[in-house]
Parts: sequence; structure tokens; C-alpha cells
Amino acid sequence: MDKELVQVALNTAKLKGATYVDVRLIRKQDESIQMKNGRVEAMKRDDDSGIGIRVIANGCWGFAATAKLNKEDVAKTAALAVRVAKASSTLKAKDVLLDSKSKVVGAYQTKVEIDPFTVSLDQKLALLLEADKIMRKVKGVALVESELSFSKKFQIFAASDDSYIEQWIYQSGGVIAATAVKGNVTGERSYPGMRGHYKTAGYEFIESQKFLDHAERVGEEAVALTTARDCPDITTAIITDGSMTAIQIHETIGHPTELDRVLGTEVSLAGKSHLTIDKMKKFQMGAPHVNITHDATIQGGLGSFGYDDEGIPAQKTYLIKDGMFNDYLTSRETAPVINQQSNGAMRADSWAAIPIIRMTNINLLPGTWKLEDLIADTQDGIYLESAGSPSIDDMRLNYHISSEIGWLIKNGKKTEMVRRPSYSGISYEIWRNCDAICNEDYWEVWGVPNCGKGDPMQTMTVGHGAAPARFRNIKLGK
Amino acid sequence: MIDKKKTKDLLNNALKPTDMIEIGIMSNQRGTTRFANSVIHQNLTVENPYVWTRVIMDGPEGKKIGGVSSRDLSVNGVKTAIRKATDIASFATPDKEFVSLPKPAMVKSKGKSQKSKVPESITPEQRASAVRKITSVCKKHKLDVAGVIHTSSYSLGIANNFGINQYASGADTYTTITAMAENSSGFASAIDKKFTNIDFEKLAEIACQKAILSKNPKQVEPGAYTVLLEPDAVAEFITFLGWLEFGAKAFAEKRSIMSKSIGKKITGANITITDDCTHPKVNQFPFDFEGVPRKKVAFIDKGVAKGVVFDSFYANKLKKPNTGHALPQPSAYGPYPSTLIIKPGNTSMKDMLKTVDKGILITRFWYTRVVDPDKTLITGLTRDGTFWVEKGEIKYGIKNLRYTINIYETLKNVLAISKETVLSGEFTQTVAPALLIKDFTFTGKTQY
Repeated sequence: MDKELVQVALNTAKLKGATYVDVRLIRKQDESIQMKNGRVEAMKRDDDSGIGIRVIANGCWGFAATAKLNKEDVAKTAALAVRVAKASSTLKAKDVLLDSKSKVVGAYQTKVEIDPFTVSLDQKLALLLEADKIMRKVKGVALVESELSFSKKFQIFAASDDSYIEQWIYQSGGVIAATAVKGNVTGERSYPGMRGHYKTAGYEFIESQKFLDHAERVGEEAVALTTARDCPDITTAIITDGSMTAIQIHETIGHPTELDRVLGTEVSLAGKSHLTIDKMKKFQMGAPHVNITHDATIQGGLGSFGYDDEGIPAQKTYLIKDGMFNDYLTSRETAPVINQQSNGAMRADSWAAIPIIRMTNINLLPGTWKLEDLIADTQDGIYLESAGSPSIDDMRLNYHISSEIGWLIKNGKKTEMVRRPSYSGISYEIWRNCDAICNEDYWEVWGVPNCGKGDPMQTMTVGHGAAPARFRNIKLGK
Repeated sequence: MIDKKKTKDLLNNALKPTDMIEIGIMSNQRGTTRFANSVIHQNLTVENPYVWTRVIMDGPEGKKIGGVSSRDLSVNGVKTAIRKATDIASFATPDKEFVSLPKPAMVKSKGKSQKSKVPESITPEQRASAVRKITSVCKKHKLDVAGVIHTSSYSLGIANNFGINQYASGADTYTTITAMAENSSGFASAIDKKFTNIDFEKLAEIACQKAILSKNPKQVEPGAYTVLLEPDAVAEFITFLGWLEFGAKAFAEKRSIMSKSIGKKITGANITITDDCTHPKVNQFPFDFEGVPRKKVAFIDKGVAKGVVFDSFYANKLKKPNTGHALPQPSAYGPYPSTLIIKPGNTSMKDMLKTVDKGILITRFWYTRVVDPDKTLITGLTRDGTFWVEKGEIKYGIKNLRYTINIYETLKNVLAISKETVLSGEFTQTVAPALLIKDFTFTGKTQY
């Protein structure tokens, strides 16, 4: 049935005058459980299915989508996509030109040991209840929260060049968090990562996170934060844990290397980028040992897949090579502008959304340090854990990133705990000031489940391979 | 679009006398035309219906609750959603705090529905025509332009088996325009119930004039300045009070400053903020996602903390009246104020500008995020039209700055409020005036 609907969409759009058509039919299930202080605040499932049809007609793009998966409505929607493209063509400079991709036929499935939808709700609730109980036992903890979420997506991609791809993508993730309140001060602590950790994986990923082993510490640190002093306003060295390094990559490398931003097509919301085309292979973005890849081929990242939403096979390229700005994330339409073929970064957050250039897994390659040696090597500095909220200007230059917790480093030792550290600066300066990266033993692909871009906003899941790293001369606080 | 009769038929067919069942049905037809480099580069029409259900089963140790949503609005689709929600509820941990879904006696409606008219349907050709108007204005000024026109028509039906049965429909158009010169940009936006009410050429001219006026921007060092914030900038930071402070969940958990301040002065006496879905500029459903009519709620009245919004769960928990501010259930977010009205003043923006001896005029903020919720400390950046003002006149454009402020403390420093107000935002609709504020803190600078 699904294959027939895809064919109806392709045929109708071509009959109506489309010179190119691609179709994504998606059937997706989500499940989430959110618990607070032993009470299930929300336990729900979502069944989401529909078809998105993208066409070129009269040399311009059109897109239409519907949740009504029957032949009549799919045909109507395909015809509508062509009508929309013809409306676009009343204001065009030139015909859309795509790279020379050839037909792709294939299939991909996330490697899953335990399908999370085969694990009972009882088992999931029992895990959250136990973590909840352990955190609440800690004296001073006022609120505890925990969450598990899972998704399973089946997608057909088919195009008028006879490409046909089927993909099954699974995602699993969760978080536990504790809040202590003392007077007007709250202490908030979570595990793992940046208030949660997510992967393309099955329930085995949840088991690997060992939430129960960390629950007591999370509660204790939340309480300790209520009496910790605010992080001082100083300029010093910072050592970021892997999740914070990941957010630094996300905001200051991932977004500015999206070629659609550079070409101005995201101005209406997300903005542009300081990494203009004239800087490619000429601009020193980081220290010489900083190497950052776009790599959808690795296993387990939230940006791992077999094919992007234009049917391009997953790829690996260097965005930053030996510190030099080397390449962009591209699409079939933008890559020819820099005389390239697409490197497979077009993604849509649902059948109802048009694919745009998104991060896949943007990874800082590991260095050589052990974390304990890095701390021992730091005379004055601060160690930061668990990324909070970031903020950055619309050219991706001036960033501000906060974290849940920090420890001052004095003479090579972690000392006093400090509350709500945040740091800011200029994006290329921090990477030029990166003087140490921990080795592959500390390297992890962190998941960002809520990357926003597009207008209307699309929420994408992206990954960042990262290890703890040290950055010198960083301004903390105001 | 799904009309009232079909929505009600679906809702009524699915309800069963046993257990508590709530069903919501939303239909939405959305068109988006994005333009950049003065051409249309994304153009789409999407039909995205949504049905959700919450089933509450009685149990000896408390209620058991499950939720399911889907895109299948057939009679069988809705019944399947209820069956699946019942399955989930059977696994749920008993909830001792949940009392009941709302009942009709609790929800006597006041005021007229603003979303019951038949929504207008805007075509891709109409959007393309509007974009041509915008680009022709920018072309005249030799400026590049980017932006978007969103048009939506939608309906919402909510029912439960206690007799709640609500339906409303509506439409709106939202546009943003960014005009760009070599080293400057200018922004204008509008949101309205009617596409034809929006003067696209006038908006484009505003964006162009800002871009022209801010050419070759100069650098201003971070520090504390007097600022004149245009309504879009005011709306951005006030919206954070909605998220952090004005809901009953943060209040019940004593996380918010409001939870410790009712009856106390928390801002200057010239600040009054309410939630009022009957305000003529806003375009919100007259009832919430549990079908309860939205009531007018005062958050801050003449500087004094007054109250927060409730849904049925938190109204029962805190034994307060339900104000009709539920999100789709089940939800962990708690009640949310989706309309924020800042009371206007009695002076014009022009006259406010004349009073500025030295200061900064800000068109809008960007990427504002919370640094410390305990202090309502937020940070973000200026964007698309930031100007140095001296002796009551705009002198030149300046490079963008990072601001970091405590919201309540900032609202103690408001020197003047404009009589003009503007509606901003889609999900959270904020009607904001311009504010003249002293000692507004900038903590960083950008390079453009």
C-alpha cells in the first residue's frame, strides 16, 4: 500500500508538469514517560504518519503534504505541490539546479539490540520509580524528575530518478534530575549529559546509562549547589566535560557551516554565518590539533542514518581540518555553488516539513589527554559539567553557554564547587584557544534532541562526538 | 479544515460512559512562502490534523492515566486512539493527586468566541503576490530582502464525557521581512487574523528604512545604557516571564519569584501585565485544551504580584479557580499563559525618543535564553536595527550587543511606556508597547 501511494505521488506530480519529484512517506511512533516526585505526569504514545511531496516545476520548488494516506488525497496533494511550485516561479531569478546524483536504491536500519517498544511500560516505570526514590531520599531534595522517550520511524524515500530507499530509525533516551530549594536559591542537577542523553539505539542504551548508579550523586550535588557560591566573574582556563564540548561544537561549528545559512536562505529566522565562502580552506577556525567532521556514518549518533532526505548516502567530511575551516554541510541545490556534490545533510523533522540543511553528527576528533592529567596540568581554571542553555548571535560569532555545575581548579586540583557557571566569547577565538582534547576513552557521541532551525521551526535530532577539552583565556560570568 | 459538525460527530461517537475520557481534535491547513535573495525559495502547503485523547481509569489507589495522539481523524481512528490510551492507562502508576476532568458546571463561558468565523483560505498565488510587493519595495531601495509569509486556517474541538463540548475555528497570517544592505539590516513583522489587513509594502518600507539608517554601524562598548525597546524587543523578554513565572506549576513548586511575592511589589508601579484572550488584537482560542473558557488573569497590577494561570489539575491541587490555561494533555509542562498583554502608557514612541539624551534604540532581540531562573536572569542579542540616539534623535546604526538582564529588576527601571502596542508571536501572543528603560545592561559585543 505504501509503495503504491508513493508511486501515485510520483506519477501525478510528473503528469502535472513536475520535472523532478521526491516523496517521503513516514510512519512514526513515539512513546514518552515523564515522572515527578513519584507521580507520572505524562505517559503517552503518538502515532504519526503522512506523506510529503517535493517537486520542481517551472524551475522552482513546491511542496505539499498530507496525513491522509489514500490514493485520492495523495494525488490531490501531488497536484497541489506542482501548483505551489508554479506560484513560486512568479518570482525567480533562475531555474533550480541540482547536483548530478544518480539513482540510489537501498535500505538502512538502526542497529538495535532491544526494540524499546517491546519493553513493557511496567519495566520502564519501575526504573523511573526507583531512580525517583533514590534521589528523593537525599535530604534537602525538593523535586525530582525523570523521563524516558523512544521513537521508531519507517520512511520510504522515492524520487523521479527511480531512487527508492527504505529506512528504519530507532531513538532512545532519558534523563534523571533533582532540584533542591533553600530560601530563594535552587540547585539543579541532572544526569546524563546536557539534561538527558539520546542515541539512535534500542533499550540497551537506557540500560547502559545506569541511571540508578548516579541517582544519589545527582541528588547530593543538587543540595550542595544551594549553598555553593555563584561562579565568579573571571577570565581563566575552562575544561568542559564532553556534553559541554558538544554544545560548543553545535553552536559555533555546526550551525555556521550550514551552507544554506551562508547563502542567505535562512535569514528570515536563524540568520547567516560569518564563515563565508571566501574563507573556505583559508580561515583558521581553531588550533592546529582541532579536527571536526560531519559524519552520518557512525553508529548510534542522533545524526546517524543510511541516506539523507534527498537520497544521498551517509557521508563523512572534515568541516575543520587541522584547525582550518575546510568544508560545509551541503544539499543537492547548494553544493554546486561551491563546485561540489551534496555531502548528504538534508533532513526534515517530519513528513509535513521540507528538508533543509541540518547537522548530522558533528564530531570533534579525540586528542591524547587523560582527563585527570588535564586537570592536573591546569594551575588555575574551572571544570564545567552538563551544558545548560546556549545563546549566540545570528552570524554565529558571539556565544554564551551556561552549565549546571562547575568546580574551580587550583594548582591542578578540583576544589570549590560553584553554581550556574556561564562563559561567553567569539566563536573562532575559543577554538583557537583550545589547547587540549581528551583521548578516545573519554569520547562519546552526545545527542541533541531539539535543534531548532527553519521557518516554520523544525526540531531535529543531531549528534556530537566529543571528549572533555581545555580552552584558555575564557571569560566567565558577566 | 474540519467543520463544527464533523468535529462534534467524531467527539460524540467516541465518548463512552465508563472511565473519564477527553478528546481533542485539531485540524490545520498551513501555507508557508519563504523568500531570500529576493526570490521564493521555499513554498509549501501542509494539511496536518491531530487528534489526542486522555483516558482516566478509576483504581483503588488512585486514578490511572494514559494518553495517545495520532493523525487519523476517521471514526475508527479516534476509537483506536481511545483504545490505545486505555491500554496505556492500565499500566500507569496510580495518581493520587488527580481529581477529575473539568465538568460543564465549572466552565460557564464568558465573552464571545473569537475563532468561530469560517476561516479564509489563502492560496499560494496570493502569498506569491504579496512577496512580489515586498521585493519591489526593497528593489527600489537597492536592498536585498528575506522573509516569510505564513498563512493558517485551523479548528479545535474538545470534548469529555462529563459534557464539555467546545469548538472554534480561525485563521491568521504572520509575516516577517528582513531588508539587507552590505553591512546592515532592518526588520518588520505583522500578525493578523486577516491576510488582507496586512500592508506588505508598508512593512517592507519600514524594514528598508531601518537597514538604510543603520548602514556602516559603529561599535558601542558594553555597559549600562538607557534604551528604547520597540514592541518586538519588549515581547521577546516578557515572554520569558510567561515560561518561568506566570504558570501554577512553578508557583506550586515554589520555583518562581511569583510564588513568594503575591501582594508584594515586584516591578515599577507603571507595569501591568495580564492574560486576556478577548483583547481585540489577539487571536487565541476562547477555551483551553481541556475545553475550559480562558479567563482574564492579572499577573502584575501596577507593579504588584497578583496571580498565575491554572489548569484543572493545578486548580484542584491548590484549591484555586481554573483559569482555562491547560496545554494538550497529558502534559508535564503545567498551565501556560498563551496571551500576554502589557498595559500601554499615554505617550507616543516619537515623544519617548525625544526624551533620550544618550541611549540605544532596539528593534528586536534574538536567541534569548535563561541564565538563572531564580533571578529571572536572561541573555540574548540585538538584531536587525540597533541605533545610537543622542539628544532625542537617531544618530547612526551600531553593531549588535549582548544583553543580560534580570527581568523584574529591569521592569523597575521603566521610565515611559508608549500608547502604541503591537501584537507579536504566534503560539504565545504578546501585545506589547515600546518601553523606555534606564540602566539596561549589555555584557558583550559582536563584530557586525
